[in-house]
Amino acid sequence: MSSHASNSPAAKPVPRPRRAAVAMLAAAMLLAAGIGHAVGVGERAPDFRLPQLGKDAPLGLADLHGKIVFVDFWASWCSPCREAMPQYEKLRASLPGDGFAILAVNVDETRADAEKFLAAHPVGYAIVLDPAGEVPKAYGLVGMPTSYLIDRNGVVRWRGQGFKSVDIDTLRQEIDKLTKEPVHAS
Amino acid sequence: MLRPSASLAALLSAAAALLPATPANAADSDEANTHASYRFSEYDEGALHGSVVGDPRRYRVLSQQLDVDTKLDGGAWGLKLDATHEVMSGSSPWFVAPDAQLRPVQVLSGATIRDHRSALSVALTQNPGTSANTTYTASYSSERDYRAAAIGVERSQPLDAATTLGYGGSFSHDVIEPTDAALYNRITHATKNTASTFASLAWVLDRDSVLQAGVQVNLGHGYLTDPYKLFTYGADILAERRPDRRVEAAGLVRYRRSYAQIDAALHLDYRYAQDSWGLTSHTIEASWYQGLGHGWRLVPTLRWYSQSAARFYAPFLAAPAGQRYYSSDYRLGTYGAFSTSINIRKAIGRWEVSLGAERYHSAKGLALDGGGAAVPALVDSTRVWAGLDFGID
Amino acid sequence: MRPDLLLRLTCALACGAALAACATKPVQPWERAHLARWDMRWDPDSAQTAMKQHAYFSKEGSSGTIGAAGGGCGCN
Repeated sequence: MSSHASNSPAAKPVPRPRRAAVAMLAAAMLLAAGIGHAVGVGERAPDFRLPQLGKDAPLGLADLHGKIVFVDFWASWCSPCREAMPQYEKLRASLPGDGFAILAVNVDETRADAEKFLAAHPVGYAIVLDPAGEVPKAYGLVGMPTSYLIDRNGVVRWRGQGFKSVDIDTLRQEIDKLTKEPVHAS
Repeated sequence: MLRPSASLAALLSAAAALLPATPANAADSDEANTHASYRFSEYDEGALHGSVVGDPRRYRVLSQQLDVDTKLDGGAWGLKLDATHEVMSGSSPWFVAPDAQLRPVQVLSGATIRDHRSALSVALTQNPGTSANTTYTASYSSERDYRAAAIGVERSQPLDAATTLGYGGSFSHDVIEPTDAALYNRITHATKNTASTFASLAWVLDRDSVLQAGVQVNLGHGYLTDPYKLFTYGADILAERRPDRRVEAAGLVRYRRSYAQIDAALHLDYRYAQDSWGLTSHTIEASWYQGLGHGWRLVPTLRWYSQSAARFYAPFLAAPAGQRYYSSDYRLGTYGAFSTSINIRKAIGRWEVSLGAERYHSAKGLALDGGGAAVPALVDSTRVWAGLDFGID
Repeated sequence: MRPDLLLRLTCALACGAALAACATKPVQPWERAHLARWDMRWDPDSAQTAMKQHAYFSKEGSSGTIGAAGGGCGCN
């Protein structure tokens, strides 16, 4: 690197340009890292309440406390969703009782795009709308689609990036396991 | 009988298809759909004008290609198969002779020939559709006088949310066994090896645009000459001679800009290449993708190509001075080419029908620097094609 | 080069690059609707590109597009 002798040694406060540079670099890195932290397994699922498609009342995670909830972030332009969503519907229909619920968060900018997609791939579970993208931001999504399996105490127990058909079997096993766990008072 | 071997490694075709299909992190895609596409095309070169000896009707190629793309193991692997079959016929440039005023006269090969080429390529991708994946490729191409086998591997991985790195390498081994070798005193058997490596970076610039920049280096070693071409060397007509090594370096920039509000997109590509034979080239290609509603799409394209001659290119050498390498193959000369094409597509359910036509015109004047030795036999061509796709989204 | 000048230059470049990349906010995964369109792929019709590149390769002096390359032709 440099062949020149450094400036004087010994105790000297960190020069201002250096401090400013470090601060700028840190700020830039934080900016570059994007929004906050990606919610993972073992963490509490951030609560949200969003307008529901086809219903007057909004729907949120808190409304489903006590159930095992599968939160799926999807959009009309997300090609794996065409395969994934009918499979989620089949999974839901095959599970007895109402201890399991699917809450699908749509992030399309235009509501009409979501409705057009659902006309071609109809599902029976709840769809909520988040065109502003606040909820995916809160969950720190790194890709689309992303889904979370949340236990009856509101803790994320499984996270899926993208969609593979094997995920359905994995989900079935996880739901079976979670059904046997106790509910803590909220 | 003479004819050029107009076949490109199926690997190159497969490779063009292997570059990341979606821009960095658009969607983690596990399309369990199987996609299939069929293409038929006819390529015709225009008859040669000017001083010509021999049948001026040039090359004609009828080709068919079938591609199948599917997922295996619940989406963990992707498999792509490409099969190509071509039938080639027509005469081609043989050598250039000077007339009494030392002007070049293109001599074409005599009777029309027919040849077939078949090629198969396979690409296996691990974690297809995600932004981190590895693809292994293999291909084989065969025709009467030429066989090529190639293998390759390439990797795509995200560096951060907006940047994707791609890199890979490939190797090809080709065997040339010219027809009528004894009759025309040609070599009977030769081989050529090519190794290549590339690296690219792709950036998501904003919600509507992406940019990719890449570099590639190819190393060719072995028999790199065209065994059918001759050269007027003083008073003799000899087989042409090219070096047995060729290093080519190229840089490519690609830009894609969405105008979704008008159902359109702009594609801009620029490529620069330079090789150890002294040949440099520029390619600019621009396409406009316009949706017309009800599943119709129109895609016009403009392409400009310019190359500067290889050091040893000359139509002929009237007074040779011990040159070691010499070739009158127009494809090594200084010239430019401009092509316009149009593609119409219609989606019907999960099928898509497409038609296209391209007109290609080459001329010395279209080159960036149109000087240098004459390049007789520059080609004008027309290509029309039809396609059928199944399994579109 | 003096160490603190080098540090300043490095920080300036890094910050410049990072800020340039985030000049507008970085594009989030759920904001990629336009980028996911068919016409925004690097190569929307790869079968056609393959045939097209083949034709150009056999009549021009350069080897074509980025990606694995190989032989297969006596013509170049």
